[in-house]
Amino acid sequence: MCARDGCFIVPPRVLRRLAEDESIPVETRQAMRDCVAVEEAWRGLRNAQTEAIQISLLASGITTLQVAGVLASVPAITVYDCKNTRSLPGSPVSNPGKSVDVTAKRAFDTTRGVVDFYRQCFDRNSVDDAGMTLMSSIHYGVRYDNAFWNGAQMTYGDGDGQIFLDFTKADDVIGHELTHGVTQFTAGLDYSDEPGALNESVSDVFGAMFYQWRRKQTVAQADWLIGADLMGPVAGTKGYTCLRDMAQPGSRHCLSPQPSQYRDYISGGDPHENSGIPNHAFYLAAKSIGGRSWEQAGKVWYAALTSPKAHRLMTMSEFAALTRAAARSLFPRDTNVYRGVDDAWTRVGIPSADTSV
Amino acid sequence: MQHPDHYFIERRGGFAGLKASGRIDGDAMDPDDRHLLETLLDSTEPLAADPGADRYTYVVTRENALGSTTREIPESVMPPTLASVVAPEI
Repeated sequence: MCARDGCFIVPPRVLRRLAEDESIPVETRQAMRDCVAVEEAWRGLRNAQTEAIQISLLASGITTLQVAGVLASVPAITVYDCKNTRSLPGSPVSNPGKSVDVTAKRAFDTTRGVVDFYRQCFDRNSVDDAGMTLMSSIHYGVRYDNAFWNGAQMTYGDGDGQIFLDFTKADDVIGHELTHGVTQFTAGLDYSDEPGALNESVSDVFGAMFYQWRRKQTVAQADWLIGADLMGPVAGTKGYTCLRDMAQPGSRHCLSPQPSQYRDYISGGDPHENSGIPNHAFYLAAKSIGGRSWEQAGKVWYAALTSPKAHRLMTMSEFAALTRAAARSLFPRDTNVYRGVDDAWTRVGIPSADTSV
Repeated sequence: MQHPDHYFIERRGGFAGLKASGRIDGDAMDPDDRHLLETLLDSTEPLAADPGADRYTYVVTRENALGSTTREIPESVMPPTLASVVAPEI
């Protein structure tokens, strides 16, 4: 699988020109020069990653990754401390698994958990399936209310303490961010329109599955909430219990309510809005199939995401078709799986185009 | 000569997908930040999104006697003091 990147950056020439503008503060100009340098380093890193993936392709066609002898069998996990600046990656945290900084230890431990989740449930070796080192930066910015994947690493803010708490507190957030890496190295979904909504949904789906896997929950025991552990006291006072709810995407207890039906798709909407539609489809499929989400429904979604037919401009209908095909091919004797997947997409307004079934 | 400019800033995206917005008058801005923002607003260069996912994007609208100009600005180049003008809508 090759790296397919639909992302863009601010042109370095714009940053360089601004960095030469003497009316701009010295620190800002330096930050822009740093951005250019980071951009070039990032591009180099991405090229190295691409080469590693190409090696894995070659190796998997001949023998195993281990025999190839060039790829990490288990990814290294590193944590950096931004010390409330916006400078990435920040200072390295030595031995983060034993750090007295609970945020550093949590970022390390939970990232290791996600590595185990992908290895044990999907036989995947890190986000690139080639043992890529997983780097996390913590304490980003001041009261920064966000976590993001920048194409090469995870970044977590401390939250403002009122609406949002420390973003490393939520297993589903860390699973979500790392899954953006998996998507980048597989389907390479764009970040706007339907592919963008699918990109966000896949991260919520695998983030929720990771949360359930850590707690050994069945689909009936799971709460299907996203970001519940992030909610601060002000959000709680106002009645918000989560960011998103895969079972009830439009519910009032969601800080960011979403559509759950394709007919309500918001043209030009944020990917975090329209992701409610495929999120709800996964919830319906998993509930219908039963058991534990990662055992059957999750394997179907993973097969669709990593299918050679997946592409960066994929529509929801195309993704649904890949899940329907995967349900049949992965579980040919268990028709309950196909029925659950097919019915789930139909119920969110994306019926099968195949009239023979 | 400075026009009495008003700036409306809307933040979109982020993991939460929670919109935030705010308003600031040009006179209230740090002059250096204002100059940087003007450069970004008036630039003909494409300002494409930051790489990755869950990044913030700021939609900045400048209004004055000459009309209105709106531009999407990625978080990596948005002056932090102006980014802090927005408050979440909850």
